[in-house]
Amino acid sequence: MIGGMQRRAHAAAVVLASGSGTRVGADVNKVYLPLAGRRLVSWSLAAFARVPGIGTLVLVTRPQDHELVEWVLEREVDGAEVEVVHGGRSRQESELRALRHLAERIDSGAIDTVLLHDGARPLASPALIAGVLQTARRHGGAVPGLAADDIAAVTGDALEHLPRGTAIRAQTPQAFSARPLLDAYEEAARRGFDGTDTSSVMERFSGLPVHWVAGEQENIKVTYAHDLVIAERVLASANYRR
Amino acid sequence: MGTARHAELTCSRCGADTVHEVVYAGRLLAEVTCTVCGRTYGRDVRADYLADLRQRLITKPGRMLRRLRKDPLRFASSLPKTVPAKPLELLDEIRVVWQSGRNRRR
Repeated sequence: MIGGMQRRAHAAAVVLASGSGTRVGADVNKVYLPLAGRRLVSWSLAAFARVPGIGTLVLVTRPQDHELVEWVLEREVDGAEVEVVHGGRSRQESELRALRHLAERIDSGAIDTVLLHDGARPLASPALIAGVLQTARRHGGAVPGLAADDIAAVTGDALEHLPRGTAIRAQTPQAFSARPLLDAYEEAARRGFDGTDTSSVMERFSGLPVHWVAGEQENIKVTYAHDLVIAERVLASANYRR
Repeated sequence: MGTARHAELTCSRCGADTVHEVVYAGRLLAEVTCTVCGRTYGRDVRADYLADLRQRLITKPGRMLRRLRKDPLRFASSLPKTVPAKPLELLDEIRVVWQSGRNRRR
């Protein structure tokens, strides 16, 4: 626990680390790859732990990663208590399980906002997280993103360039008022809806206004092999601090 | 060879998710290689390694003390396994660092 933070805090951060990555020959999920001395997922947890107002940290994992998760939390996330939840078959099901884990505290009002974050984005800074949280508290929902003026829509064989300022590349963490978020996920589960990300579920099953927050160029998702090299360089240039 | 991990990442040459071998020299990422097509991203870590090793040695007592305070039993029971392995790990790291010199030209 971080210095009595739990008593005052009303936001919960959920870091998703339950993705598959189980191709034959892979011995570790990429979110547990070391990066400058810490696993990818540990950088995220440490960043959330430093944001005032976040009192609960939840890590969504696969059951088979149990031992590794224990090792990582013991050595790399010192000073913060992390609640571990086992994920489901899809990202959305994993998010729902995390929300159900928090449901009692959401119902009691102890948690008013939930931030959902992809464990493969190790470089989200505490400043970005705080900005997303603040915006979600003010408006109901917040999604960080980068202006994507180079994106074109495809209609048949034709390309249509979108007007400037109308498209963003969405990032995480995405934050929402806790009660409407839980309700939207329960409704999506009842109807068998499978969204692309958190905001798509909210768009479909909640009237909550969602605001865009300027994201960070460094907040990359480690997808390609070279992303690991870039992420390490970003950390090195910041003296291994986020 | 140093510390190698195998994880699924997207290969830009294969255009698909493939298993990659990720090789570390201590805390430094030395090389990432697609196990299907062999595409490699690597860097010369020779200059950074000594500084990183020094930093690890300086912070080691503090890190060990923290783990001892957190869970003395688990810490003590891990020592017979981890301590004898350290010299070999270090030798492997040095081998990776030495080999990373070939990434200088990339």
